[in-house]
Amino acid sequence: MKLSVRAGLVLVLIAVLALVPFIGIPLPPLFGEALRSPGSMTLLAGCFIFGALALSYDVIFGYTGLLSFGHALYFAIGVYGTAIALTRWHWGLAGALAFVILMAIVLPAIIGAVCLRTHGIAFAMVTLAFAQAGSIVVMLNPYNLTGGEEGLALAASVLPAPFSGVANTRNLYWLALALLIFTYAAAAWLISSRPGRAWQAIRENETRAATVGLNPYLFKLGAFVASALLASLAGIVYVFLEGGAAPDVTTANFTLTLLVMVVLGGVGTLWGAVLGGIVYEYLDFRLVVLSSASGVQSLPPVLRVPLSQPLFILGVLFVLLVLFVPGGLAGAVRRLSSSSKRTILGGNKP
Amino acid sequence: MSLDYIAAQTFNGLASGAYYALLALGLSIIFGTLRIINFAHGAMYMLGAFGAYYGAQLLGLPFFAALIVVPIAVGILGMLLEWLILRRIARSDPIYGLLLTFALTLVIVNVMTLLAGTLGSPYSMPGALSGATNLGFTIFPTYKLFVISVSLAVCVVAWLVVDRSLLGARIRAAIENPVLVRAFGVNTPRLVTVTFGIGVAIAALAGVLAAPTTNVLPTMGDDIIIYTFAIVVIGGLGSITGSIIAGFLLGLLQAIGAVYYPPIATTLIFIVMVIVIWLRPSGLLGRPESTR
Amino acid sequence: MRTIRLMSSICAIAVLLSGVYPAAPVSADSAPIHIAVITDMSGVYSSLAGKGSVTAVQMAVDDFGGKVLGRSIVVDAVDHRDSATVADAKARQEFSNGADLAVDLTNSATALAVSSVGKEMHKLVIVTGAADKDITGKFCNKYTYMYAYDTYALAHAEAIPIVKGGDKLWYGVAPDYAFGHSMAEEFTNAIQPYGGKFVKIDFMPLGTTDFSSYMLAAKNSGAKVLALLNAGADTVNSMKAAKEFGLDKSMKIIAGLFFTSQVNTDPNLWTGLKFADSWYWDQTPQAAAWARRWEAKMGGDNPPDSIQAADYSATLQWLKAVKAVGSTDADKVVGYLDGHKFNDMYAVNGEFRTADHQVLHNFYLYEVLAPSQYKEKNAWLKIIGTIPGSEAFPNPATEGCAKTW
Repeated sequence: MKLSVRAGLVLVLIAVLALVPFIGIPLPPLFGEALRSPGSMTLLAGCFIFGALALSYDVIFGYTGLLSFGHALYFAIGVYGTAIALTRWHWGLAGALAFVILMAIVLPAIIGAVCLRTHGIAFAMVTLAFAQAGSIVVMLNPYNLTGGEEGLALAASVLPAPFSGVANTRNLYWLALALLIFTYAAAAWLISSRPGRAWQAIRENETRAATVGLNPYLFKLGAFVASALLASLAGIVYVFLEGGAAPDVTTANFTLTLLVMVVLGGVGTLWGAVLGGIVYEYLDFRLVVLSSASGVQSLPPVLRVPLSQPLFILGVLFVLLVLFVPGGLAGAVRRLSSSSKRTILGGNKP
Repeated sequence: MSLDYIAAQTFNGLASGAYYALLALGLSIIFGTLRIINFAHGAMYMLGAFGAYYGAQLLGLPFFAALIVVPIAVGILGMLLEWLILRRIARSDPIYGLLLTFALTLVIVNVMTLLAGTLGSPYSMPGALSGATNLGFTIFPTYKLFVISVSLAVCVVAWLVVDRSLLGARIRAAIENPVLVRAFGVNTPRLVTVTFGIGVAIAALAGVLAAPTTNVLPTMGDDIIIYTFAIVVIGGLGSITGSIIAGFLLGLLQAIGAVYYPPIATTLIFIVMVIVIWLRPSGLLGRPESTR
Repeated sequence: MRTIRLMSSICAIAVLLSGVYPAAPVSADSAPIHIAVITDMSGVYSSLAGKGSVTAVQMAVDDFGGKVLGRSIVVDAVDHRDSATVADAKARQEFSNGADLAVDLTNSATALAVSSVGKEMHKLVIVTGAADKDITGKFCNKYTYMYAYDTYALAHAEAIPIVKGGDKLWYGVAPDYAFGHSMAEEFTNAIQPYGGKFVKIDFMPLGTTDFSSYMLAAKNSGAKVLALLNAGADTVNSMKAAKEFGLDKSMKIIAGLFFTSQVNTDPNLWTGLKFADSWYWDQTPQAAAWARRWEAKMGGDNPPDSIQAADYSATLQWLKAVKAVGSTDADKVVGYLDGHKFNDMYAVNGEFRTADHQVLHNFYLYEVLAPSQYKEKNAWLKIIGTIPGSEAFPNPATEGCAKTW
């Protein structure tokens, strides 16, 4: 597609999405109620946040080729860092944000420095180890900071006024949309920059990249920190949307979910990752409604029982996906428009 | 703390290490030979435990028979999975193997949840192995001694087969250079399938051994798989001996840690892993090129 | 092309099926009344609550006549997936769609989350499945009632009769997070006035499945009572380990949080265990009759547990209150319920206590019989103690509830 046509389409899409809070049309099959209702907007905002999060994971996994099992930790830094700074330490919004951004640069720099001494599955395991450590710290609730398994709610008084209360859901929606646009722009800029091209070279063949004078370790560390920072930003918006922090964002399961999103959408394509994040979060939410909908409940048991288990459906869909559509949704669309090589880690433009 | 107590805790550690060793062994065999990161290994362990339960419920299968029958059954299931599903992605990026086995785990665990519920299924200790044995310096549950013995026996046999036998040599050669090996008349794909089946069968054996002393739940494999991966990394990817040693060692460390400072018990494995990786990135006994 | 068609058809089917969805209500006055059963439908607690809770609530609606104030009543099953964030989102969705009551909330984190949503949106929340006593303590609010049990009640009902009987040295194992620490604190406080004390309490990390080391330590400690201050799978694993080391022969074993339906999973394992609960299906003819009706609706032959019975009772009491005040408005219903005394199949000497919104009722100490002693199928328990609600539940004066209503 020509660049100008593409750019135009993107702008139209953004405009449509921005106007959603004014659309009163109900879309029963896709959403239970009108698009502009708080429920639908919350769901869409959640989808956008996960799209941004999937993007951040694609930077390190899809473009740099590093399989990290601990990405959830950096999202959790955004979520818990903000919640703790605002609610436990009573800092102002600016101070809290500055603190989180600082943590989101320093912590992954240290952790990455340790983890990147390894490769392949060992690297995956070490990143997992740190994420597990984070998960345990959160559950242990030291100095009553994290709220343990019950999570940490944002006190109503610390939420910035435009974002608190059900009536202001549309502001949260726009914030999530802004996050997604920002993350996409940042990711696109990063991967087309000099470090970004180095990352892709490292993904293709690290030894060869080293021989042309790149220091793989430093570039990988850069990718690690950049993707962690983007994930933390998504975490900040998430904690505002949810009104609090909960420990399920620190689990290994959560990182694996991110992996599923990116593979679903198409590894190594930016808009594929966004699509994967949005589709997955949507299905995750709606499949549960689907499974308890009256139509399904009246099906014969042999169909009803499996369909009542959303994870079962997701698992089966995922198996089919990996077997038959390895390039994810993006790969499927690309094959429609041109013929390209069937690889999962291909060098693709955003 | 008396010698009696310390000795008993040591044996406790060896007993839990016995499970880790078996699981790490199976995972290592599969990874070392097939280069597949088998995320479904925990689910196979769980199927082993449920196999024992359903065997007893539906067929009146006694424990000692289950020790032989169930691993074979799960091994066959594993071979079917390899032949039908995993083989399709054999030539692609290793990440496929991981994703596919992860997805398979979701499906398997969910099916079992539908069948068995979430409260746990009962499996009682076989009468002959209940009670305690007097070891001289301590009195210790007989069943745990049994578990340690079975695990050691299986580990030694597995090591002998892979490292010393013709079959083992063929497996290792087939991975290094499948084309050449096939030219010698060895049926490589069949070898691969059988090896996967063996690795999975060992996991199921661990599951059967676990059934009398652990709550038999569909999710019982989920937690243990993470520790198993950590142990394989510590022992060294691709090293059978490393996995066995790391498994027993970590079980021991965990039990001793639990005595002195319980909160550290589950994080200990990760702490040790980070230390080992820092000092020796390819693990205790691993070969450097096998980590790619 | 083929794979695109495959994916598109899968997506299309999913979308179409989700369109099989009840239409939105027409107007507020004749619109159905919605009760949201927010529970764990697919995870760890789904066997204890889940579908059984939904069935119990539906039975209450049917027994009440299916309508109140001329409006029909619809029961919505909502899965909170053991996640406070999902529970929060779903509760908001239900309340903004017109639900007037959220009930069940098995899992303390979700109970707390939905309780604050109810407070914000002025909708009633009745918690039957969570154990955190802070729900009637520092997190109390006008729109939440705690119906069935909490860690304080469990501790007092179980510990006091045993320590009074002379067993003063205890050994505890607990999971190392909020629930475990709360149980440890409650039990320690409960036995202390009677001279009881814990020789040691082992806090084990989440996910521990091997309790051998701790059981060995318990055996060596000289304690006479083993307190399994955990729940669910942890209780099973620790009980198995305890029996492996022969502790059931030398110590009394009590379980912190144990539900009657767990006995059926392994009757031989639990023989001799003592635990406290608010209700048991066979304790009165009334309860047994209700339990049999519930079993018939659920299929299978597992009797209901106290959470599900509490859901039935809570729903019935709410419907009666709505009828009495002529409206579903939460403030009016709270005004009626506060101080209201009642008796039903579930609650003996029941009262909606105004001071902290704890619902009082009798609490019982049970012992698990050996299978040979069952008088009929599933009659696993005998009652060995009855504790009146006023003693079982926390004292409002010391709880820390800042009553704002």
